[in-house]
Amino acid sequence: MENAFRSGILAVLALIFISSSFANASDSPFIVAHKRVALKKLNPIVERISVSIDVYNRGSATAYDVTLADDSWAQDVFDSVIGNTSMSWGRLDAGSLVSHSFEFESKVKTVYYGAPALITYRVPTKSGLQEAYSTPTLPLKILSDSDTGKKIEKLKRLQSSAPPAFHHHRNQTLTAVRSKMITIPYLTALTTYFSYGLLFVFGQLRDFFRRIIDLWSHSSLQGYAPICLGLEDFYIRRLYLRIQDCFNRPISSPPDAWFDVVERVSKDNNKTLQRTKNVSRCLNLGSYNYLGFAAADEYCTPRVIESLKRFSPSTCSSRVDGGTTTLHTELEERVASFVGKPAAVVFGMGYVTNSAILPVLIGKGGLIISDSLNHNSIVNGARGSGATVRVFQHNTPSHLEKVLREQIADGQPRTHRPWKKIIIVVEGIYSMEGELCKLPEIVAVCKKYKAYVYLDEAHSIGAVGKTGRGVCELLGVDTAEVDVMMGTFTKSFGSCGGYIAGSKELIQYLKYTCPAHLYATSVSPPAAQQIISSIKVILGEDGSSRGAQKLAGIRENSNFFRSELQKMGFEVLGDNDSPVMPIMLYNPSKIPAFSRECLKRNVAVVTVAFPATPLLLARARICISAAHTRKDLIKALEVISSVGDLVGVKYFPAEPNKQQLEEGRVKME
Amino acid sequence: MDTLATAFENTVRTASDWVTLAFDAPSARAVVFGVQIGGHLFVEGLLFVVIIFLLSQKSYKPPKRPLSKKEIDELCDEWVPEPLIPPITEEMKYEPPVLQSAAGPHTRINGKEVINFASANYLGFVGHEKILESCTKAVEKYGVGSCGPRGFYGTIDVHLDCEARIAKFLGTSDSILYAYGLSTMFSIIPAFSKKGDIIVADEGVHWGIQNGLQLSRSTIVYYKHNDMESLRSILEKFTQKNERAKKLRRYIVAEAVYQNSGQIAPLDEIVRLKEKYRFRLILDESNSFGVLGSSGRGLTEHCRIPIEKVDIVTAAMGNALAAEGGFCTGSARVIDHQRLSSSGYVFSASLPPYLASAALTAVDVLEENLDLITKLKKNVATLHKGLSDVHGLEIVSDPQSPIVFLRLRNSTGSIKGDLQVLEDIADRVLKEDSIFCVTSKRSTIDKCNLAAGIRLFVSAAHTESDLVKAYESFKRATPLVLEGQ
Ligand SMILES: Cc1ncc(COP(=O)(O)O)c(C=O)c1O
Repeated sequence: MENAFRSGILAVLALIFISSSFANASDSPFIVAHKRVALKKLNPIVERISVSIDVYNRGSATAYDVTLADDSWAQDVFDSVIGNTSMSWGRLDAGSLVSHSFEFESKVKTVYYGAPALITYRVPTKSGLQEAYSTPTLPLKILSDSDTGKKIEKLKRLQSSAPPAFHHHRNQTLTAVRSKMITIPYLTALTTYFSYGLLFVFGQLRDFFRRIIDLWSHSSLQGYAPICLGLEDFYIRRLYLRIQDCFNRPISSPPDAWFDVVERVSKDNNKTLQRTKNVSRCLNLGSYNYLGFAAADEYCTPRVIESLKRFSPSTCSSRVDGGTTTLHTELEERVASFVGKPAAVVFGMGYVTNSAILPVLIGKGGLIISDSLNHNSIVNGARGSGATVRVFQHNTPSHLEKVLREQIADGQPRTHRPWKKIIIVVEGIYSMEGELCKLPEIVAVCKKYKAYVYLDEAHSIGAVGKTGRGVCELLGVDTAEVDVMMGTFTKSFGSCGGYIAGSKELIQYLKYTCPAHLYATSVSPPAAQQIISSIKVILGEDGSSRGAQKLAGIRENSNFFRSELQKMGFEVLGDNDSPVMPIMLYNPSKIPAFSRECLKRNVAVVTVAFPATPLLLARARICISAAHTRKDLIKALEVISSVGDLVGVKYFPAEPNKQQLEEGRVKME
Repeated sequence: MDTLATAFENTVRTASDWVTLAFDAPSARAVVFGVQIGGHLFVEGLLFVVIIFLLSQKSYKPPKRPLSKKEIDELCDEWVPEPLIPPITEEMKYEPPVLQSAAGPHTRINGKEVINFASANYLGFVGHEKILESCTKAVEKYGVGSCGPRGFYGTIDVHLDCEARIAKFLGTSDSILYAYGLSTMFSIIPAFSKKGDIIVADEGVHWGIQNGLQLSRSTIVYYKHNDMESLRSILEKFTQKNERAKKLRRYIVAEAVYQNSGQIAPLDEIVRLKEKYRFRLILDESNSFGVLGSSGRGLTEHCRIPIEKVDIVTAAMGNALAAEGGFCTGSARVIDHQRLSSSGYVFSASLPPYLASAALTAVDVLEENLDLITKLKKNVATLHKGLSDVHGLEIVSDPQSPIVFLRLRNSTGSIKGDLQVLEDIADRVLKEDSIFCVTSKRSTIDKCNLAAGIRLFVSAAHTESDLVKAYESFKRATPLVLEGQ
């Protein structure tokens, strides 16, 4: 809490600083804009990334200079193919526009997605050199299609409205600014803090009166410290309870594309909620039902029921005792071949898979370097292992390399003995950000420094890749390069449990000593059957093409939905192809508003706030499923758009052509 | 005292007078821009300068030269990590028997029917018609997985019904479901106990609890396994010496029936101590829920203690209820707190609805069939008696525990050695007499060091002849194995 507070203050200071540089930028002699980084496919293996920028000279400058300064790409991963990554002092007359582009080709022959490069510009002015940079994290496709004149108009307009897409900084070190991936509009940040401040003050006031009242009435708990601590409890009582109807909404049907949300009422100002008999049929944009296996399935369900009859819901025993049935052995073989590893072991819960495996792999004297946004199960696993834990900046291979170098050079704390081993833990798709892991670069870094890679594919296995085999397939990384592959069955497969896949020896060792294998009840047999059957469907072994359709469906649905949201002016995080897309809300009062308004219009979305995200970065999260039809998505977009207008979360100007949406609709009918 | 203070005051005053005098001497007087600079101002100015000077100086540190890029490169090149896992030995290649049918009282291994003592199917609910029927209905209605954590549309009405049913059955105000038995304890303990708090735990607790204790970062003290005197002295020590302890949250953690020994915790004594020293009690009823007490309500009923006296009760549902997952029950405050603060609840997909439905039906069946508990008790007594005079083995577990825990009368001296012998016995009874029972294998990261043993899980569905076969087999096979040593 204290930490969050401190970083909050820092963020405010940083924002004030940034906004003041906005003001300075108004006399900037040039305008810089950035096109989105694009991917070109030359042939099946060769793909190129092109990065391009536009510089418009507004007046006083006569020359410009461009350098690509991006350290988020590991060295040696890319070759520059076309264009100069550093171009010194080209001529640029007043009033003219120049476009500058580079093209890269990946040396490791892989698709590359991710945060794009940073480009520095320098322009001479009377008072000396002026420097600026640009981060093309935002939808700037606008710039690529219209003609030059209009482009400049748009640029000017955009710049004067100063959306965070365009930053002009003077004399600032690039590294200092670029660590901030999400840029928050100044005003938004201010109002967000104000809202939290207000809630906090009122909460404290109420607590104060409560305490005065409590003084009179005797507490029965003499001699016991309160079971819930002040601050954590404060958050629940004074903030969470106000909006608790937005969470834990019960449903009374499978979490399919459409589901029945049970209505709840509160008689005591939202302190407690009672279920009613009423349900409303809502479009489900919240469940991790990526491939649509949540509901009854023509192929899976009969087999699940058969297994249920044959093996009962539980074995009442751990895997190593009497909990291994023929289904479990079959499941392990299937999972291993599906993810592309020699062997696998399965557990009854994804969370436990992480938290019980890490302590087995590493202990005191070892080092775990974990992505800063890793899931709680990984954090707990690392904590439980007794190893030293360090964190690297979210999805930044260059920072990972820096931490690795420092740590290897330093050795263990105090004794400076060399580390016994180092494990890097990353996720395939980050479930709160929707981002894909920069796996090729991270693997390259790990290889260079002899660290082991632990990849958690909870959200990516089954959901991405041509045949659903996860980020390795999508990003073209050989699974042999990833030492430990972990994943869960709760998402794409519509079941429960988790797996670890790796070398035969690794799995043997885990089966020998992992507590989750030795002590925990084995995966419920019908759930195991569900996984087996859904893998068969994905691979087309059921004799139909449903699997391939599902995989194509989720990709198209996700990309369609993401691009439409961006066009509407929402601030959407995450990468293409990822079915998870957070929409930034920022302000705490917008959380319940967005959630309730969507629900009113029969669209169920998930909203996430502190403590799951940083205080400032509250968001709504949308999970797309292959089970959604185009019509569903269009309805969802309409609802989200109107709610977005109502609540005021379209932080960017909308793209003028809304035709596509209409076109899509025409096609549907 | 008073005089001393006055004397001191006087000395100080004289000294300061003297200093003022010294500096107010004509030589120290100056007038700058019409302002008279008194001596004290001069001194203060001087002091100020000195302070600034001192502050601006870095404190002395041995000169530190950062490593150059080249040096770091070399260090990175030289570094050789240990392999990810140690070399695989023969014992690591152990493959457990594979069941070809449901893990009921009788099951099929390698095409042969065996009597199953390896499943904690205490009430014989594996394969129970009514439970299967409710599961089938639930699968047809809800599908298999819940595809989301409880907070994000992973709450299905059966979860709420199941929670209410369990609370009603136990007579508590609320309960909360966890997706996995193992995750129950390691989520709950850190949710209630943080750094600085005190936990006194039994040294025989299972790994899930150990993990929870470690994650909580609290001060942890273990008392001797099921030894109330040891518990008392530790509680005493904590409350006596440590005044601060009153402000901290203090917990006792125990299991009702210990998975690692089959012993039953003396709850009446623990409750007496906890009330005396004002600790809270977290009790794991995994192996006693549905087993102990006249109607299966667990250890509290067994000891005739109202359940409110235990602050937090947890249990795995993968044992007597023959479902999966776990639950925690207690006061509404305790439960509500977990819904936002318990990691395994918040950050993990919820229990598959058909398993919640299984647990719910199982509680119904249990309540309607009290004879199951009577039968189970009878079976426990029979097996306990039958195994009590096996040559070379002794029973560690309580006569009423549904886990009959046998250990070697003469230990080989190490847990590993013991396990090897016990493994041989278990192998032999399986191969020769089709009695399927297991040894208590232990993970290398498990800190429990109670003796290893053979565990037999008794079920109400075992027939008299199953039990007789089991103990006869042990009586026959054990001496053969032990002689062969
Ligand atoms: C990255 C990651 N790992 C692990 C898990 C836990 O999986 P499960 O829900 O199966 O316990 C999740 C689930 O939310 C996750 O996002």
